[in-house]
Amino acid sequence: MSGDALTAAAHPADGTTWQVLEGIDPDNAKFPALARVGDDRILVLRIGDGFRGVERSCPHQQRSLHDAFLQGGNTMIRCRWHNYVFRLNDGKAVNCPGFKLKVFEVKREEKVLLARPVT
Amino acid sequence: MKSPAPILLKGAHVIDPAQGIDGIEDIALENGKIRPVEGLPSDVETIDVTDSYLTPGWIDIHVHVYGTLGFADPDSIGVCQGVTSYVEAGGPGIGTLDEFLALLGSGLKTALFAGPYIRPLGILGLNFIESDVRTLTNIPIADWLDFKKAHPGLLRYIKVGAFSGYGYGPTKIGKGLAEVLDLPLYAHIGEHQLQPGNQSAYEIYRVSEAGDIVTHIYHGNECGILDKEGRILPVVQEAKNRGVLFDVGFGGFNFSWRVAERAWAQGFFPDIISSDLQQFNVAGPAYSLANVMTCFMKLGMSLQDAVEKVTSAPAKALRMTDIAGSLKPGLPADVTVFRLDRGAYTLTDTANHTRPYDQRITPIMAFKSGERIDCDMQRCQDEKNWLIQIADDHEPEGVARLTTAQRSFLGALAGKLAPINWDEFSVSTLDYDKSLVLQAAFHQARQEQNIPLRDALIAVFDLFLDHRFTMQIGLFLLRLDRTFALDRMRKVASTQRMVA
Repeated sequence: MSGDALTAAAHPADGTTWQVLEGIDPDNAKFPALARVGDDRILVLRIGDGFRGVERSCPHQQRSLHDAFLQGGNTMIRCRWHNYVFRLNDGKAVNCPGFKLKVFEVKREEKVLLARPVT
Repeated sequence: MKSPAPILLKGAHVIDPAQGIDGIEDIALENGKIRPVEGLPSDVETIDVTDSYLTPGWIDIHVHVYGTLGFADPDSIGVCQGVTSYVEAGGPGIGTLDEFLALLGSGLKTALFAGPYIRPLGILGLNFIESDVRTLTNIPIADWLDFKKAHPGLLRYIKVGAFSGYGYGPTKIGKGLAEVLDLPLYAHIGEHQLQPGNQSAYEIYRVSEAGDIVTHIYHGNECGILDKEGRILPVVQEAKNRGVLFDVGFGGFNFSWRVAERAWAQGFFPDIISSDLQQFNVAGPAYSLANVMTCFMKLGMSLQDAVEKVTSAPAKALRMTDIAGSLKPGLPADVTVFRLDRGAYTLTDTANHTRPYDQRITPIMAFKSGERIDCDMQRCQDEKNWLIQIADDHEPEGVARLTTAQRSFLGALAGKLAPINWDEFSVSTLDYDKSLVLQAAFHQARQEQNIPLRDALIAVFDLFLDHRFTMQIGLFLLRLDRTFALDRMRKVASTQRMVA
């Protein structure tokens, strides 16, 4: 990314804990990678030099987002099934009002990735 | 530009099913009409279209260029893709046909017709309350009759969805309205994955008469044309036998290779091929009417039959053989020129199942009333064309173009909206009635400011969108964050006062 777009991302509420994403080697993992954050099953996307997490399924028809497209200069994700588009900074629906995608901040610290939900 | 001088299109393989033409022929145009080749001057402008196919301009009876499913650039799925006429399938209703006409009644190269929805606001598209019978509110028969009389030739069918709730009432209301207006019923039987147990499509097959049209016939969800063993349902075959027309309506959910192949194997063929192009399928898997035609060639349809189903068949179904669908001399010079490319292609249905194919129909040139348009199949793919977004972090460039009258109107609109509360809706809570309240406030402000409808609509769209989409104003206002919307309206109105 287009790190720029995510710099402006909504900030999670204070106190939300960063969680280590076990089993994902940031240098060698295949992205998007599967992970869990708390009870959420997420997909970790590599976006430019950075990372972002999203829930695994599109909230529209619960189709997998593993083969979704990045859109709008890497600021949005588009489900390949019905072109529903969501902003990666806050998960808000772009062309399908009323829907919302759970998104997660993901950062690298040395050899591990850490994630926390964007609220 | 439309050329009044004659043009000769030379050397193409012409397919004109209405006239039984299938072979190398020359076609001539003059003054926006097809004309006989005989008697052309010797120095006539000639365009060599050898090694191409040439047909009457294609008609797509099911697209979405207006409303929540529409495009910023409607010609991008029309003449730019070889489609010279299309029908907006349900975007407006009787309560929004004035908005539809104000925005799209002129300015397009593609001939646009309307197949309005029975709901006064038209298709909602924003979430899944399409089936809520209460959103039909009132059906103002007198208004419908008056509108049809005032706009001869604009309305081509009445659209109704086979949605559940309140029995089969909505279906019968739609059929009744179509009868009153002497128009075909155009019945949508798709999106059934959203309504488990909905049996309404079966009622569509029963109430439809000869000339009525059923669309989305190859969808792979419940309540389709096949029984559980994959056989054509008797009620479907009976409808076909009595003259009900079956239309593809590829859509975003509604074309399944499995269903189409099983139907094909039983000799159940479509009468009309349409795309249902919209924001949610243009970037795949529908892409274009040409792609949908190619899918039917993959199933085994001849090129000649595929052409018939986008030319003479829809022209006959929509009672427009006097203006489209053939290359008979005297008809408008609507022409599509295309290649049949050879290669390794993949055709995808709406469930992401694929089929390989070695041919592809590629439009290369269209003439609309004699005006030449070179096709550009990629123009529609620009995300600015299909990705409607509110510019909530910046003012769109269009703000600079707002006139003094438009700025005053926006200030007045903010005043009308200020006493009204609305929340951003979630998937399950679209406040339909509130959209009507917002629409009424818009029209009240417009009338008090004495500003033309088109100028008022464009003022709102240009205030919030980088790329001008056209949708029902009540629904558009409802999707805006209230505080943000009012602040921006007031700011733009006050800027005018400062300048003044």
